[in-house]
Amino acid sequence: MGEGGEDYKKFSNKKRGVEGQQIGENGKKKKGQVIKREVLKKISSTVFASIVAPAILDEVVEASEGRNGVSIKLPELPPPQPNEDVLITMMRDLQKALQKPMEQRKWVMVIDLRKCVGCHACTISCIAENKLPPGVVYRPVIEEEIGKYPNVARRFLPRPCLQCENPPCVPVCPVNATWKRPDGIVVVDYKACIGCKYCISACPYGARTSDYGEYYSDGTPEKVQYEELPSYEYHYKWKRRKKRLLGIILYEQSPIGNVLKCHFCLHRIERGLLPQCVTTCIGRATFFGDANDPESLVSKLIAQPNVMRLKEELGTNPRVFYLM
Amino acid sequence: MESLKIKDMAIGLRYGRLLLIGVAILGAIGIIGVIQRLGWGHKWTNSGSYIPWGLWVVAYAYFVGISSGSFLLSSLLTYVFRIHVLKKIGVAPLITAIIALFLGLISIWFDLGHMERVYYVFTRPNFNSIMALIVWLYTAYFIFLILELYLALRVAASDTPKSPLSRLSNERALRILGVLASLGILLDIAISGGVGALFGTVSARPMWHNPLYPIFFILLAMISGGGVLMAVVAFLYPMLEEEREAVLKSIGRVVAAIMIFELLLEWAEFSIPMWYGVYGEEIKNMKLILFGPSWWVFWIIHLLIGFVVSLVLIFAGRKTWQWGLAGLLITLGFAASRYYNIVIPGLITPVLPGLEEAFVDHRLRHEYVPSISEWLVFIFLIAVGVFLIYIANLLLVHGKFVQINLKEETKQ
Ligand code: SF4
Ligand code: SF4
Repeated sequence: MGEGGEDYKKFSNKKRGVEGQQIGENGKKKKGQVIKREVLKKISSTVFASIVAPAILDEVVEASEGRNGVSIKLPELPPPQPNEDVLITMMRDLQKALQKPMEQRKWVMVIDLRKCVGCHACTISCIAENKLPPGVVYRPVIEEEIGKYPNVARRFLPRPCLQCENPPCVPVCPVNATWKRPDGIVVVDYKACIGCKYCISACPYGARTSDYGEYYSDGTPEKVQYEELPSYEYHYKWKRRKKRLLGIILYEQSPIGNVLKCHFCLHRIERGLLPQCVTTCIGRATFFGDANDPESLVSKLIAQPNVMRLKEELGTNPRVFYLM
Repeated sequence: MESLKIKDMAIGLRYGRLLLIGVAILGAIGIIGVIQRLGWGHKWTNSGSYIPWGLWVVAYAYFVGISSGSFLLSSLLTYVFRIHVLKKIGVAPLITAIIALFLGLISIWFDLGHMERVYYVFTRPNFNSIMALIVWLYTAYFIFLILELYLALRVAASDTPKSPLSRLSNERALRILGVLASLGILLDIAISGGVGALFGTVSARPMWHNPLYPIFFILLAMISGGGVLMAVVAFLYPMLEEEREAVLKSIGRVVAAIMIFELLLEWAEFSIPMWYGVYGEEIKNMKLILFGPSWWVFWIIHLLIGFVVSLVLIFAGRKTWQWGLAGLLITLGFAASRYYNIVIPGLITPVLPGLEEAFVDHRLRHEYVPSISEWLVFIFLIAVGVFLIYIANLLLVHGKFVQINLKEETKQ
């Protein structure tokens, strides 16, 4: 199927619902520990340089997660400056949040509709990051046209998964394959999902899509290599393959057949990187951070009076805020 | 066989060969869809991520409805309302219920993205999910039906000298069967109402999110199951001709009454939100049902053929085939179209306007017409169902099991 390290095991751990508890090496439950920066080591990383937009971030810091001996690398940041790029500010907020146990973080996203230019860069970068197949989209940008020609205005509304506080997509799952983590991210366990699509019906925002096993290069003579690349969602190396015999499908490997959704780029944020859509937003219209930290940029933004959330009346309590 | 007169063989059994040929043709065409599904996954289905459930989910709700409804209706009429003539149809509702349940589970199984993981519902269930709950209930129901059939056959065995089953004294058996039937009624209500709750609890879909949904589904189950029972009794079940007529008349009238009541509720369901037409997302879905491109499903199939024509056949009919036909029109017309008009239009209006245009893909559309492949699977399941019901009824007559309900004639 694919490969996954310690982090994936933690992710798919059955005890995931237990707030702040992790399974330690000896199999006993331990209280989640604070990520400590132990070693600061400069490594020049061309990989990060290409993924993370600001060139300044091509230095990474290695930090060790005292808990299971898993070491993670956090990018090193320049000292705070007035007028710095908000991406740097948000990365600083992000790293600060990672110092805390998971259950004390509250990830939120803020999208400034006044700044969104409708370029769809976020949609595309998300597809590239998560290797999304045809028919699967995590963050479409809805375009609205107001008025009649010639008095027309346009409005753009990017729609990631809203990571609802009270997610209607979770309790419907017959096999507990989807749940809300203590830090607020609603995740799907691809190895458990049976593909019943009940959660798709239950999401009031259309944020879940199903992988129907298609490829962009279907019907063309050549299979594009890009489509065979693995994705790294949930800290696991997912190889999207079909096992065939004489053209007949014997088995389809996850995530084919599963329901997929935006997870705020969990695999990135736990490595100290911003979600890909935030990084690539050319209008700097998307913000991300920890709402439990009153000093964070997002906390300040959502305290403004011009905040709006989608379909508030449903009581889903989304964690994606829009600035009008 | 001595006890059986040819006139008491139902038309379907008398012309069994013709029926078998018809079923074989349907099955041969339909199996293409099954092969497509098993060999190529969901490649040829028309559902997508914005309309995640299609014809196979409709078929699932429909077949499960037939299963629970046929048994619920006959148990209620026999044991609660004590319409004794219905005892004459003996195991017909049981056979129908078992076969329909099997078909329903196959169709929902085909709809899964990972068919091989279906057992997870047992190994890692979330009992908060209606879907998990009803799968467990189906399992209980299936075991119950098999047990009930076994006991019923043993009771019947006491009248059949050559039956391979050991006899069960009538008194004891009736006691056990009575207790089981009441348990069955509860299970039936839970299952048919549960399918209603499966849709009704989804607050994201305004048309489904209706507290009356479980009630609709219980009524629909009895209507679709009653229709199938009428067809089975008219065309397949071996019994005395006079009794056949009496049974058909009473089931027909009851089913007609339930249909009228269901229609009354439908009127309420549509007219209340639509009357002033000021607020409510569900108005869009309802307008689609009534005046959208598939308007004929509601007006022609549901109302005209399913309701009006079958009502005329029930009340003006003189021959058994007319009642049998009414049963078919009720189940395939009135009930199936209603299931369709619940599942698909409930999903068809976008949860957020503009979603379809925001990212264009054939799996991200708000239009749905079942693909040929989906229809083929449905046709295959119908063919399998008719074939199994036919074989079961044939076994009752020709097999060594029982010569059900014909004993009176032997005595005469
Ligand atoms: S937006 Fe949809 S998928 Fe995301 S948490 Fe809310 S209900 Fe679930
Ligand atoms: S599609 Fe997967 S995640 Fe969604 S409800 Fe079904 S099993 Fe759960």
